Amino acid sequence: MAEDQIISISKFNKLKKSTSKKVTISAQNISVFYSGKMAIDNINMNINQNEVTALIGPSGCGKSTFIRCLNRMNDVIENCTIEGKIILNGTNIYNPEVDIVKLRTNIGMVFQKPNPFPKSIYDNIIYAPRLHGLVNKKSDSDELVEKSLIEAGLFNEVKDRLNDSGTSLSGGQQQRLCIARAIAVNPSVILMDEPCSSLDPIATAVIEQLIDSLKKKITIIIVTHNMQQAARVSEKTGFFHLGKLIEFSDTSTIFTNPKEKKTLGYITGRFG
Amino acid sequence: MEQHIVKGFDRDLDKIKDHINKIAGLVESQLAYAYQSLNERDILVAEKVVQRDKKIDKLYQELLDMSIHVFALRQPLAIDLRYVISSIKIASDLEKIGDQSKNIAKASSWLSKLPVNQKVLSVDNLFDLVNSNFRKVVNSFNEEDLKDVKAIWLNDAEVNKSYDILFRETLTYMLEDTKNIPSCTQIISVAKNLERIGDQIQNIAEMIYYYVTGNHITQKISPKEMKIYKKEKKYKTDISNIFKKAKLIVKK
Repeated sequence: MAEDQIISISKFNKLKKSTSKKVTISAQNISVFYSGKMAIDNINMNINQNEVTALIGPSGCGKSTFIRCLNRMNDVIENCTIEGKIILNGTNIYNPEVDIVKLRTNIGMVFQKPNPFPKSIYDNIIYAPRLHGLVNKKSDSDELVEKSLIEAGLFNEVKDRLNDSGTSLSGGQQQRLCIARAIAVNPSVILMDEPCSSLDPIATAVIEQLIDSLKKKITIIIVTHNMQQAARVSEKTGFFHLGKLIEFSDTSTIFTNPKEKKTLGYITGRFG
Repeated sequence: MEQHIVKGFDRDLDKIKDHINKIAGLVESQLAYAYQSLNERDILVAEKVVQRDKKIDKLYQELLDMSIHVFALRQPLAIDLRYVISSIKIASDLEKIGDQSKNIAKASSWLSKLPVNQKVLSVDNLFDLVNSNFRKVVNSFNEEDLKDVKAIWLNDAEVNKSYDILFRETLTYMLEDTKNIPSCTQIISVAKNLERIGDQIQNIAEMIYYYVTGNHITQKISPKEMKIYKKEKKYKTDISNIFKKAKLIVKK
């Protein structure tokens, strides 16, 4: 072996550690057009497993459009065309044979405004698992509801009123109910589109703590306008501008020493 | 660098810069007065330096308050974050230079009380070196200009060399005649303070480089340059040898 090819064990371990992250989602050359007008332009991005990836950028830059591509939510929009591939655990989710309902079970989504079903807290959680035949017995249902609410950090607050309507909860609790509903079907990925924008700072902190605990099991992609939130919760951050992914790097690099001038301008408040 | 959308943010950062300049201006004049008091054995100027040091301490505390305000209200990021952090560090180094100028002035007061026939070595060379580096580093901070920063950083070896020469000469004078000891110990104290000012200037150069580029200056210095720098920085005076000589003199 040539001398310049020999590396120290510590360097090798470091290299191994940095490259050993498993990629859950790989976006390859993704472009989206609304009525022929380009909304996002040739995005390439690898989302690592059990990490939180934050997407930031000014309004209309394409970050929400991008995450909606990841569970084919854009399919329901008329005149929307998507080019490129989204590889989830080795399969292109845009293959015609992919079952969209199953796909959205695997990639859950939480929206800006909490949207619980106008049903009881219990039914909100158990609705999808029942639909997908994941539970048969009442005891299994009870167990799954409890487990999901515990994981979403809501159980202690609602355990005595599981039959109350989900809409009777506070905004922060409703959002956690939506997260509990998403995790009840055991997804591998959760997409969050500005999940805290309608919440107060305390409810926001609770959701951020929840994101931190969920990432041990689930890969999370979050769109946020709050840069401090992106800095607090994520390992990787992508900056979008005018439909392009300008920079995608470790969160600490993006917020301390970004490589691109546009990223620096945006995060330091020099342009919007 | 472009302006912030929120103009108040720029105003806050400008205030920090103005404050650093205020401290730097005061420190520069303190250093000059300390040197004057030393050369002219002027006890009044020396006392003035000691008194004015309190003003620097106050300005430094104000700068800390300003920086906390920016952290709390503006949440600076990237270059803005590095700027505020570096400013605190630079102000702290300037405050220390102020303290060292005060120490020089105190030594001058001491020297002024000694008989005039006492041998006092000149610190001109060391002072000129330190003073020139100080002016350059303040200029680099204001202009955010990195062209001199590396040279200032490396020049600390020259300051150490100059201190070492002076230290050796002073020891020789003390060995020659014990009457020289009181004045020579004060001169060693002055030289040591100037040498420490050289270190603070080097720290300031490091912080300017860090805030402008986000990288550490030592990463930009080649191994060859670093080797030369370390070799030059090392003191050559062998104190144990000098003590041996001193013992022999005492025996005689």
